Amino acid sequence: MKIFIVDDDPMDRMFICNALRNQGADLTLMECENGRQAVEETSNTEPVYALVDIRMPGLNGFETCAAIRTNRPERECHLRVLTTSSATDDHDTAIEHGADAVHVKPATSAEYADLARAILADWNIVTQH
Amino acid sequence: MTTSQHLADRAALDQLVFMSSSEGIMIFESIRDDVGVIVDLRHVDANPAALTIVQRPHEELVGNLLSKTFPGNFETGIFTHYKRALETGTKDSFEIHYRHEGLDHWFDVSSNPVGADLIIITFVDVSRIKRASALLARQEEELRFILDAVPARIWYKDDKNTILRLNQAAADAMGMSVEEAEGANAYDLFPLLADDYHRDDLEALDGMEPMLGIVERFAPKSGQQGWISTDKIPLADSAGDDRRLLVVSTDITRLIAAEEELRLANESLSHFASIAAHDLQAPLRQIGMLSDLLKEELGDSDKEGKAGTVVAQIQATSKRLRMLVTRLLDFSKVGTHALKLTGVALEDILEASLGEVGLDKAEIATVELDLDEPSHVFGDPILLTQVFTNLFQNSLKYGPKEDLRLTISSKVSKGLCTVTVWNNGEKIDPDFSERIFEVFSRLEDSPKVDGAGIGLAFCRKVITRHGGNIWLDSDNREGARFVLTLPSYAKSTGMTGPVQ
Repeated sequence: MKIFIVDDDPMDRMFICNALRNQGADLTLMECENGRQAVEETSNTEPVYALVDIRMPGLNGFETCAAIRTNRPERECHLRVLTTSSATDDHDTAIEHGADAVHVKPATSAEYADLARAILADWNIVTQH
Repeated sequence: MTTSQHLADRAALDQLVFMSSSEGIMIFESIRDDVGVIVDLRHVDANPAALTIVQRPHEELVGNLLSKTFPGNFETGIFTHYKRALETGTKDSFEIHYRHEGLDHWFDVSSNPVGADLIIITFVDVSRIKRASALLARQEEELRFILDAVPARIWYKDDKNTILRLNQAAADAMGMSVEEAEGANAYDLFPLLADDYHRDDLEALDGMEPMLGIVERFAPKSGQQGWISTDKIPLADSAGDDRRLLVVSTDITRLIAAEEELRLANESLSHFASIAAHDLQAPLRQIGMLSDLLKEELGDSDKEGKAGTVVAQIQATSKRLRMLVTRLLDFSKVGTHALKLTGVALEDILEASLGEVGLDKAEIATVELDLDEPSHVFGDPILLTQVFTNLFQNSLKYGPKEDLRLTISSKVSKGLCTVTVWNNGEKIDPDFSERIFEVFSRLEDSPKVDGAGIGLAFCRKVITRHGGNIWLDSDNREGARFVLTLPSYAKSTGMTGPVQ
C-alpha cells in the first residue's frame, strides 16, 4: 500500500512516517516536499492515499487536494489534511477543497501513534497490532 | 372769501391742529436777563397731548417758568438747545431719554423758534419703540453670547443651504468672520460637501424629525478639514417657503484619528500575536516530539540516568511553552474575533465552567450558587464559559488546598447583571488589583502554581468587549472576590442591557 506524505517540513514528515511504520502494516511511504511534486507523483497511482499539510510554499494544501482530485476525477482518492492549525475556518476550507477529514498535528509520540492507527483503520489498511 | 375771513379760517384750523395733534406741543416765550441773554423760558401754552404726556394740568404750566416746572431741562442741557435755536433762529431736533420730575420717557423733540422770543416745542413719546429696540438689542447680545459661548459649531440655515446665522466657533472653523459667512450659501463655502449637507438638511426638514449624530467630513473652502459629528434640528413652526433648521456640529477629528490609530494598532498587534503564536507552535511541537523520540531511543537503558532526566525536563519545558503560546494565541484572538452574542442563562455558563475545571465534584470544593432569578445575560457563551473557567481555575490554583469554598452570586439591575465570584483563599493585595489583569502578570512566582498569567487579562478583554467590566473587589475583608458586569437579557422580550 502506497501512502503519500505531503509536507514541506522534513521533521513533520518524519514524525508521521515513524508513527505509520510502527503500526506494522505493509506500507510504502512516499514523501513529497511540495504540492506540485505530490500532484505529479500521484498521477499514475490508483487508489491514492495521501496526508497533506496546509501551509506549504507553492501549492498550498487546499490547492494540492483539489489538484489531485481533479487530475483524474474518476479514480479512488483518500485525502486527509494534517495541519498545525486548529482554526475551524481552515478545516472547512480543506473539506471544500476535497479533503475527507482534517487532523491537527499531534504534540506527543503517543498521540501520533493513535492518529496513525485511526487513519489506517479508516482506510481499512490491515495492521499487525 | 375775504382775506380776513381767510385768516380767521386759518387760525381756526391751526387751533384745531394744536388741540387734536397726537404730538405734544408746548409754546414758550424767552426770559432775558439785564444784558439780554436768554436765561429761562415761560410757558405760554400746551396742547392736550403735551399735558397727557407730561401728566400736568394746563394751569400748572401756563405762565410759569420752565426752571420751576421742568428743572430737568436745565440739568440735561435741553434748555441749551432751545436757547441756541432762539439765538440762531434755526430749527433743531434731538432725541432724549428724560428722567426728571417723575418722568421716564424717550422723547423725540423738535424746536421751532418763531421770531426772537417765541419758541414752539413739539415732542413725541417714543419710549415704547425705544424700549422694544433696547430689549431687542439686549436679546441679540444675549443670543450672540449664548451662541459664541458654546464650543460647538452652530449654523442656522434655510432650506436652500443658506447660512442665516452662525456662531463664532463655526465661523472660525470655516476660516471666516461671522459677518462674512452670514447670508452666504454653503454651496460656495463647502464646494466638496455642500450637496451632502443640503441633502441631510432637506431630509430633516421633510421628516420634521431631528437627525442626530451624523458623522461626516468637514471641508470648508478656506478652513481646516476634519471630521464632525452633526445634529440637524428642524425648526418646529417653519413650513412652506420659510423652512429653517439648526445645525450643531462638534469637531471629532482627533477622536476619529485616535480611533483609527487604535484600530490599526490593535489589528497589527493581534496580527503579530497570531502569526507569532502560529509560527512558534510548530517548532515547539517538534521539540516535544523530538524529545519523545529521544526518550524512546534511550529506552529502559537510561531511565534513571542523567540523559533521561534532561529529556524529561525538555518535555516539561516545551509543554509549558506550548501552553503559553496557545493561551497567548487565544488571548490575541479575543480582541478581533466577532462575538457570537445571544441570550444565555448564567447558570448554564457557570455549570459548564465548573464542570470544565472539575469543581462540580463535591469532594474538591463547596460551591454555593446564589443567583438572582432569572439571570440571563447577553453574550458569547463560549467566551463567557472561558471567563468563568479562568476564574474558577484561579480559585483552585490560589485557593486553599483543603476545604476550598466558592460562592458565586448574581444581581440583575438596570440592564446589567453583576456577578461576584468569591473564594476563601488569600486576600489579594489591593495594590495589585489592576496589575493582575495585565498579560503575563502573576503575583506568585512559585513553581507549584502552573499558569500563563493570561487568565485574568483574557477575562477582562472578553468582558470589556461585551460592554461590561471586571475588577477585584479590594474592599472585601477575607478571601478573593472578583466582580464582573454583563448586559442582562430579558428572556421574555429579548431586550438587552447596554451593549457596546
